[in-house]
Amino acid sequence: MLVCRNGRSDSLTLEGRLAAGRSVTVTVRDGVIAQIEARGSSEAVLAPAFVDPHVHLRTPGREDEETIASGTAAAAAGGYCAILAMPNTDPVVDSATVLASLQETARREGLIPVGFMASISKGLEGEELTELGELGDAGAAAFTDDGRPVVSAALLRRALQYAELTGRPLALHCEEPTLSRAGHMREGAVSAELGLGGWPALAESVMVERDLALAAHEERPLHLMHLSAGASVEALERAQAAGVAATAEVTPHHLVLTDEAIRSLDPNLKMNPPLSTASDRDVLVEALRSGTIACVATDHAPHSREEKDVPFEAAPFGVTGLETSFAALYTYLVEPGLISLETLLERMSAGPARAFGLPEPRLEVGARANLVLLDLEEEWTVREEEFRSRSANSWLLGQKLRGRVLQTVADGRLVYG
Amino acid sequence: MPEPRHLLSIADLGRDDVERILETARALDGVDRGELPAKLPTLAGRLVITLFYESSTRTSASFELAAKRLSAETMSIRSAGSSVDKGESLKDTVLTLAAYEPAAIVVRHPHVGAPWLVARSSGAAVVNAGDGTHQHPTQALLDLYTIQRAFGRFDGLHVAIVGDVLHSRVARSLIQALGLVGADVTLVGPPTLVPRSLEALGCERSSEISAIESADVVYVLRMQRERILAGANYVPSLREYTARWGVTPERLRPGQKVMHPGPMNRGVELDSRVADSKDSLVVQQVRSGLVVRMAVLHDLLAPGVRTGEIAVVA
Repeated sequence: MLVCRNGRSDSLTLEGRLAAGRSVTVTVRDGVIAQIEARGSSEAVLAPAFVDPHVHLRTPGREDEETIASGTAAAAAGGYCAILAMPNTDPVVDSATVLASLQETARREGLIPVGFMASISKGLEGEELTELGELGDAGAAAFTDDGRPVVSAALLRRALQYAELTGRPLALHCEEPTLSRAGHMREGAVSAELGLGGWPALAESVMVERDLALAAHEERPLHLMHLSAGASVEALERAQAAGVAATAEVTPHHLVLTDEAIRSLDPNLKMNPPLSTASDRDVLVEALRSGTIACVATDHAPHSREEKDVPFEAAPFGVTGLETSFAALYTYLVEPGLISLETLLERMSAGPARAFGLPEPRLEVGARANLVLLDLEEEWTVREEEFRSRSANSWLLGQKLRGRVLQTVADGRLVYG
Repeated sequence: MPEPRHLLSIADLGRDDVERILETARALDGVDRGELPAKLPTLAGRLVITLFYESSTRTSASFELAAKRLSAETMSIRSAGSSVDKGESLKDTVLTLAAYEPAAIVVRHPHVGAPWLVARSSGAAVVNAGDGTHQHPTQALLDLYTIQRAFGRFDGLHVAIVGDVLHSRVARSLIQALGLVGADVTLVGPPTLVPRSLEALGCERSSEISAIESADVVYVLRMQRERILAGANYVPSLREYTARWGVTPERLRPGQKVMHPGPMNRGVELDSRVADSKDSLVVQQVRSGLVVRMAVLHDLLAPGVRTGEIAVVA
């Protein structure tokens, strides 16, 4: 279901050390890892490339903000070998026709493989199911109404039942809209001070509880997107322990920032779900470490400059993330010792691949070459001019990070570096 | 050129900043001489723009008059009838106005964070005259000034703030300002409009109107009708609000001072007899608005210039 480009595959050699420390030289022939030799002098880390299960490519409809070409170039620069794109476009990816046209464009313009999710409900309106069967046959990577919750419990239940036809998971944005309505940031001490409408953690966790109960009842898998509340993680742990096939993702910004940051009123700190309190953020980091949350997802959400250059309260939700995710998490989680490098690499690659039934990028002879080479020493400053994304609504603009992607090999081709 | 100084939020101020502004206001105030504030040449030749995206009587009028009393040129822009009606963004409006090189832009806007955008987009000193439900710092300063004139002190003073604290920029700024100068604050109102989450502001809270009894000052907030509209469900009806939380003579002790930021809904949050009583400081608040806004403009645009050293314009 990943759309790949049938490019010419040159022979490639990459030299680095494994996260465990051993130096290696890897030879890629015809897109496949042909040889791994125990030699080399490079200090850079060579690892399976990353998989991002949550990207907004804004195509069709907002090509001024991102295209498949620019979004996949940004992903390649971030060390990704595959991404999954969200269907909340204009038109919505709710028919096999729209899906096929995107797959065709991705084959032509995509620098790395792209999987397209289709919507659960027609037009994301939460009323009628899309043709999940046909969309599944046409290669939909998964189903989601992302950007919106599936408000109707009955519709979600039918979708869980019917998606059995497709073998593809449902990915859910969990938000009880009557609790989060008029919310611009997480409800708490900071929202009380700033007077911004509060989006309580409860709005996420009550929906997580409901969705997990439905998945348990239907014995169907479920993927929870961009978790932001400690109570959601606790519900997920309980469900997993009870045998529910539930997976989850968390974004770099929810792992690094807290609602305290919003005191600056920078519109690039506004996203949905909103930044959590410090105690919830600690729960998210621990869940990523333990594996309760197995995936890092950027929720890369490009917005035009004019849309974000407005007062905080008037700004749309969403921040970019493809080009900064590894460096941000290396700087803020690995360097301070909150999680290990090995764990981070796993949660950015195999974790998301497994959650969506995609081939896991592997560093082994015979595997398709999906590799990333990382310089852990390099300090660099995040600058708007250097983004490959068409948008620059990054929460990291102007900040200094450590750890940089040097090269990315996706589906056997050198796509960055 | 040095970075311009702004007044965006009380949270940016320390106690000495507040005391300096209040002291400047005292120096400018002619009330002890039975006069309105004298006209000073401080800002002669400089431009102060008031940019209001929400309706306002006292705030816009007092800023304009304050700037004029400091001999500034003034320009007043209202969103209605300006290019905002043609869809011009706040940023472009500010860039346009910045071309006239104003010394200060005073901005009121319905969205939290708007004055920060104005500060980023112009080289002028920016004064927040109200951004959504966030801040209204000059209101808090003029309220402090009014309280100081009435009581001569802040330490140990007890202020009860009554009403829709959740949506009130006046309350948010005032709570911070009273905290800075050492007064105690109790928030009183319906549990939906004074929710537990507001305990983070460091105040006592109560849903019983009897909690105002021990206060030296009862500060009454405007009850906005949209909180009562069908579907909002903050309070079931205006009638129930008034019955439970309306500030009436029966609920006050003699000598308790009453304040209101205006505009008042007489008979809703505040009984007319209270509003017009000798213990009402409402008119003094309006008067304080002028000198305090003069003091703020003076403090931002002519820092270090002592008011006593300025010759009064004849």
